[in-house]
Amino acid sequence: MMERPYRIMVVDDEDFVRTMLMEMLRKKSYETAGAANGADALAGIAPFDPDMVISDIIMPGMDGFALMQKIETKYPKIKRILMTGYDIDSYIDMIRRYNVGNILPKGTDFNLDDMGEYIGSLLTGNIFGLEKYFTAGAVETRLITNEKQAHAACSAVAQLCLQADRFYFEIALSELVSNAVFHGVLQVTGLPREKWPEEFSLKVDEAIRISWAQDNERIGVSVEDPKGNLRKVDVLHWLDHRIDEKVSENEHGRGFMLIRRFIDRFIVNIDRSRRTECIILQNRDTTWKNRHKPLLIHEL
Amino acid sequence: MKLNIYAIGNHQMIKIEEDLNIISDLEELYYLVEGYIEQGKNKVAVSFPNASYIYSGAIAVLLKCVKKIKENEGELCIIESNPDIKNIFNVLQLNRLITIYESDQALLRASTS
Repeated sequence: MMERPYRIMVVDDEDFVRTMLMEMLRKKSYETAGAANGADALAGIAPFDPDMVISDIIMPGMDGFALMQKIETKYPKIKRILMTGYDIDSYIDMIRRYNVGNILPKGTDFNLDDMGEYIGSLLTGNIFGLEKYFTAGAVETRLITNEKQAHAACSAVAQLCLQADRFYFEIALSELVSNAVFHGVLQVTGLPREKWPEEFSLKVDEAIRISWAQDNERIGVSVEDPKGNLRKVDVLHWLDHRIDEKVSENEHGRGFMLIRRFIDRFIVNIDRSRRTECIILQNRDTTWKNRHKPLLIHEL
Repeated sequence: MKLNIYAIGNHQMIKIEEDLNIISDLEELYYLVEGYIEQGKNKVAVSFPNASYIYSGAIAVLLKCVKKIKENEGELCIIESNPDIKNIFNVLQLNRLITIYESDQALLRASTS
């Protein structure tokens, strides 16, 4: 028996945006349905039986966060993506409150090919791997068990970057490696820094994996640990870990904020207790730096 | 960790002469600050002239130092001329807690004016 195509419901009160997105999805062989508000969307779910709902955040009546919460409660198997024309970071309180992982910018701030790729990854559950972001060019991989190997890999990757990006790219890379080693594998989270090991040496089955690739458009790196300790709720917490004038109790944990601020795409894929993969993608075209960034955290 | 320590006006200056990396242990900096506080010296300046970048672990130690110094009604400042590193401090809003000076001379001018 032939499997039916994936079904996607698009919810947006702006007719133009809704129909354009549905048309784009139909061209990618998805079946689509549209709704102009949250109430219509909820009423349409049972008859349409979608695999995914993509919704705008700001709509008359029920907003996108509330709609997604209702869908998650009643139809937990339906995949959910929010989208907005505003700066996603300005919603960080709501994002944390509703524990939302996937938000895409609307309009010109997001490449339609990337959007199609991301939607496909979520629908199939095939979320891991740097190679899906590069149509050409081989992905190089190193297994890392000590800091010497980590430095060598980070230096090799940083050299691929444009000079103007190198400083921030190197920071992002260091933060990801540090996170994978100390929080992912060695699990020192919460321990005072003086109790962390001076140097790290991992067993072969604990090795972290650094992969990188490049093409004419961008450079990408994936850092993966084999433990899967990170949770979406932790990532959202770290992304909102601002320094306030009282100085918070926990001084650690600003690495993810720096990565999100300075890197064009930061993607976190989590298979709990199995593996965590953090991907950073930096465009060679520097005009991307001024565009809104998607929030891409997926926890299986 | 190789440190150079001297006074600038009323501030105790701690200059970290090494580059930083992901496993740099900056806890020594915190223990030095703690020692100064015990001696009644609650104005401390820190600089990293050879740091090619700054990482979140270093920021964490700086925050721990700020907390200790503020509890003792003192002041922590940073001497930093690298615009990229200053940008990191600004993005994390560290500049709300710590005054950042371009140079030793700038700190001296500020502390004697």
